[in-house]
Parts: sequence; C-alpha cells; structure tokens
Amino acid sequence: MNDAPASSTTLELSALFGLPLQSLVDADAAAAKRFLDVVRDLAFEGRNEERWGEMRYVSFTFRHVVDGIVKRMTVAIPLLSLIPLPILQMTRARLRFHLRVVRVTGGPPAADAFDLERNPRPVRCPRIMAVYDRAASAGPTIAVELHVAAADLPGGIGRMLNLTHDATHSPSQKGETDAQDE
Amino acid sequence: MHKMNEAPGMPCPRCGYRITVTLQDLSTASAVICSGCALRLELDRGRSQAALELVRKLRVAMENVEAVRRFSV
Repeated sequence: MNDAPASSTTLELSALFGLPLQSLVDADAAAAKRFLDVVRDLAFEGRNEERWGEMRYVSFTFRHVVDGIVKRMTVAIPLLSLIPLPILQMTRARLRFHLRVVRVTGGPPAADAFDLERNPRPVRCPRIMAVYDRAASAGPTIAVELHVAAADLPGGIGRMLNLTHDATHSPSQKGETDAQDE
Repeated sequence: MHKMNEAPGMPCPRCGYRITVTLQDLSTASAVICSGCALRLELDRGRSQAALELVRKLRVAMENVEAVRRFSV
C-alpha cells in the first residue's frame, strides 16, 4: 500500500484525535499566561524583562488615639490583594467531528505477535490514515463546546498573596496630629 | 494566611477583621468601614493615584465584559 498522503489533510488517526486536544491544552496555557500578564500589569510597577518590579499600593488613612491624642495614621495595602483575580480554567470540553478513513497501512499483527517470549520486538500495528470529513453540506468542521469556571489560584499566586500580607505597610503616623476631640 | 479565592480586601489595622473591598469602593467611595470595629479608612487618592487609575480601567473592562455576557445570553 502506498504510504504517500492522499491529501495535505490526511493524518494518522492518533494525530486527528490528538490535535484538537493539544489545542485545548495550548488554549488553557495561553489563558494562564494572560492571567499572569494581567497580574503583572496591574499589581506591579517598574518591571522589566528580568524583574516583576515593585508592588503597587493603595494608601488609606485613619484616626488613631494614642495616649489621648488623635493621630492620623497611614496604611498601604498591596493592590494585588484588593482586586478580583480573573483566573479561569476549562472544566469540560466536548469535541465532535467526523473522520473518513483514507487507507490502512500494514496488516493485522500475527497471532503470536503479543507473545513477548517469542517476539520481544515491538508489535507493529496497522496505521490508520484519515481526514476530517464533512458532517453535512458544510466543509470539515469540529464542533467544540467549552465550559470554563473560576479556577483555584495557582500555588505561586497564592504564595504571592500571602506575601502581600507581609508587604502591607504597617500604620505610619502622618505629619498632622490633632488634639482629641472625642 | 490568604485563603484561596477569598474576596478582595484587607485586614483592619485596628482589630484585624477582614474588610472586603470592591472595585466600586476603590473607584468611587471616599472610605471603607471595618465591619468589626467601625474604623473608617479614608482612601488616600492623591498617594494612590496611579493604582486607582488602573482600578478604574479594570472596572470599565469588567463592566464591558459583563455587558457582552448579558447581551449574548
């Protein structure tokens, strides 16, 4: 049987099954990378190729009574802990496509092919070459149904958020000091 | 310790109670109040200008996404 591909889209059956799955994995990875980009762009400043830069902070002030004196204090909170983190992951994917077998190369394995004592060499199974086929009047299609949901934070991001607790600047006293009027 | 996917916020500097902060708070409110001890934390908009501008853009983007989602449902 001729091994030359019947057309440019003829592939081994395993490839035809695997390519859409590989695309799903690539898409999930792209979404994760985009999530990291968003976190870096929003929560850090002064970053470059090598460093994530410094955390951005949001400052709050509040009145605090010390020894009967009301003082204006400042606390700086990392922006990372104040914004919702838009991380998504695929929870379910359903693919539906039609295949047309173009040819089968190689014959079925011999009856004793799987007897490892007699045949220690790997068994050569037939190769099934196929193409994505058209379902109806349209050309070849793959129907894809994806379900996504908010994902658990990756461990690294979770650890980073824990660090934001340490990075919260302790209250510092602002210049102005008011006499207590309460 | 941060819990996975807990709402954005911060510990109260006075009592430690977790104060939930929304994008709406950061965009428009002048202060957030601790539900544990009623401490009023004023947003220092001058010092936080760059961060709050990003928050505003994020909020607009999320509202646009929500509008598209509602439209397509």
